[in-house]
Amino acid sequence: MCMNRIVADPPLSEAELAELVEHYGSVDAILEKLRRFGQASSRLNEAWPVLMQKYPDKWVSMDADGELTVADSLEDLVAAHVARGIHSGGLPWKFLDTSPTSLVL
Amino acid sequence: MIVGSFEEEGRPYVKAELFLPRLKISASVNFLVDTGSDNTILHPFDIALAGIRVADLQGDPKSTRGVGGPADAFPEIARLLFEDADGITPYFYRIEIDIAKPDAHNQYLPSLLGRDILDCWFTECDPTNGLLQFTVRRTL
Repeated sequence: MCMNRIVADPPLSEAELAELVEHYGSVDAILEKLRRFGQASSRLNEAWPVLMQKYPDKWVSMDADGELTVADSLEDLVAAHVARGIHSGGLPWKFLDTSPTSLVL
Repeated sequence: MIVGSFEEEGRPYVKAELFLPRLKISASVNFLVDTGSDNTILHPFDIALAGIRVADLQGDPKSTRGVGGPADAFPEIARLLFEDADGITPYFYRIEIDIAKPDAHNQYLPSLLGRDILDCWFTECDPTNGLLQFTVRRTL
């Protein structure tokens, strides 16, 4: 699938395209990654009320197939991903905070 | 049209693929939409999940300030890609993202999508109807 359907202004240079291809393989791969991240995020959001009850104050992530990872800390969550051979940077996460504070950002 | 979502606290989020060409690191990030932030910023959780090592960040950190007080961040050349609702069109943004220096106050913060990106979009935000969508006016 050609790379020039990426909407960018100015259009991507050859060097920029090469950079993306080297890292991702194709535009479709980028979109597929985003799509799966979106699916995983939706699943995690839907499961959140149950997860809050079941795993209070734990760190969780979920993949697009609904597979859940639970850990006591962010470091443990990343380690669990590594142990499964997956990159944490492709998974949505939540801290199931039983004492949430308001955010002012 | 880029579609966002309201997460369980009702906060507005939009998903993006982040690529840092110098570090050759990428991550899918759920950014909190924040019109109060001048710049897009990556906070410690997402930094850790992306596998970014703070020791690999270059240069002197710049100072930022917010309601929580001053904070330091490392600017890093970044590419952000957002998926159109049609599922086949990616929008590409070249920005300098702020990578927050972890401190006692930012550990639990979501990463923020700031006005460096948001000013390129027409934003429709109607939490009463679960509507959060962005019409792309320009890319960078």
